[in-house]
Amino acid sequence: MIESVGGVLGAGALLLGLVLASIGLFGMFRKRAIFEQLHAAGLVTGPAAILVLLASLASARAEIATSGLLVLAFVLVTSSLSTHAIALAAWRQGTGSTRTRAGSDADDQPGAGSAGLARTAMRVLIAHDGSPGADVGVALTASLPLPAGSVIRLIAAIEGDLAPLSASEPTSDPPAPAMVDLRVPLEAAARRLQRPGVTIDRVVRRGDPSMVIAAEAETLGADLVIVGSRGLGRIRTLLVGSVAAAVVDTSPCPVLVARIPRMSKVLLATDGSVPSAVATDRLAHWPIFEDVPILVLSVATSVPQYGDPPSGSGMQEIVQTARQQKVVDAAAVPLLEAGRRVIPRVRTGDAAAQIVSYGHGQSVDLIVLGSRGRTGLTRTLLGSVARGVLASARTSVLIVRPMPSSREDPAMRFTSQ
Amino acid sequence: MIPDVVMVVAFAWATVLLVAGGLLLLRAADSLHRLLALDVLGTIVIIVLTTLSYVKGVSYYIDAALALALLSFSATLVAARYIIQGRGPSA
Repeated sequence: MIESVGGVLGAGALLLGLVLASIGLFGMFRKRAIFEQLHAAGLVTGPAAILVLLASLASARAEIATSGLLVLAFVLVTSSLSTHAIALAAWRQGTGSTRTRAGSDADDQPGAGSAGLARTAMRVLIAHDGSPGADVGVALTASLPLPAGSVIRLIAAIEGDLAPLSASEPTSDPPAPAMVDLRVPLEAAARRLQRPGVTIDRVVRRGDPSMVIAAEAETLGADLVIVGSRGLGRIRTLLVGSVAAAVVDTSPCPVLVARIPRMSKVLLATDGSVPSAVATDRLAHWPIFEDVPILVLSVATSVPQYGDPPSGSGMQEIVQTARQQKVVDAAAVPLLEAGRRVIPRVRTGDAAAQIVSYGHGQSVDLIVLGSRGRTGLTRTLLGSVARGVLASARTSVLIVRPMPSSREDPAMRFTSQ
Repeated sequence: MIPDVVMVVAFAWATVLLVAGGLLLLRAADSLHRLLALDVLGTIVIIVLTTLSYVKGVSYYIDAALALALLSFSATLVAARYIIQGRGPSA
């Protein structure tokens, strides 16, 4: 009696394990991205293997049961560890970075083509409010060489209604007139962005624009948020500028404030800090910067540091400049390694003003700079540089903040190298 | 006692999974996908050996599975490590 119950249980465990293994394998065939595949593989290496090995308890012989349990204990430990090792390798290699692509080229792997493209694909969120300024953002995005497999989502936010985002109101009441108004320009923008291999979708949300955009960026897993800037009169610019600044503060990913509908020359402003290193990392690895010349600028401020020569001797400036030169060189190395065209420069003076004036003088289309998180005195200082550049530049501005979130900070491996 | 029919079916099924795992390995586009496919393939071989040992009623195959689990585990760790660190500045 007991034997037959054991047999049934054992057979059940064995077959269930095989069913799970089949489902896991099917998932691995369906999904291409490494993290999705890892998820499916976990079903095979975890529950499926455990169930099949558990069935050994129901087998006729004691040795089989003992060995089976031994393997089971071993698999319990190792499967999670090896999954972790693979996931870590994938994360370090940086999905979505061109570093992996450079690596695959060096490895001369056959078939790296399609998967390489898939890995460098980007997720871009464009905030659109139906204004000409927003169209600049669309035009800029349309000019970017986004690799196949990229996703572009157009989002329009409607202000006024303070209903929480999670409220399930969209279907019940008829769409507000403003919502209908926004659908037309969104559709036009989507048509402009259309190109083979790139998925485009549109959403309209209610609520405070910066919060709505930040939430959508989170949902989409966006690499980049693009917001337009109207550039129409002081007050409107001020208003839109404040939305852009709010988006910069709340967004979980880098934010590009678009003011010029193209990107033929980029200025990276660096100060050797962790945020700058993150910004450099993005420039080095995002496919959209592949064929763009990059000017790297570091500004020596006139604030003397401890141990500097006395002011007025002329030495101070030399020391400062030498220090900034080092910063620029440090930023240029990863860019050059990634195959970017780099022009390093050092200037002296107020950081924001120098960055903007140098950018305008070199007819740069985009200024890239890192900005700190929300805490600390340094954040206030650096944040003010980012704010200053954002407010006074006529070019597009890309602001990169290292995220304090759970994702491993790329800057860490950056600085440790 | 697991019925013989079930064991034979399970063994055949596991073999089919083995073939599928092999196809997955062939289809893998880069070293990471290949590594993951190999890891899964290792587990499938463990499953195959286990079911084989049920079918035959001997424990040797399961011992082989133990050795394989050990080896494929360390191989996965080393390969993952290599993917992280293996590329020198010249790569």
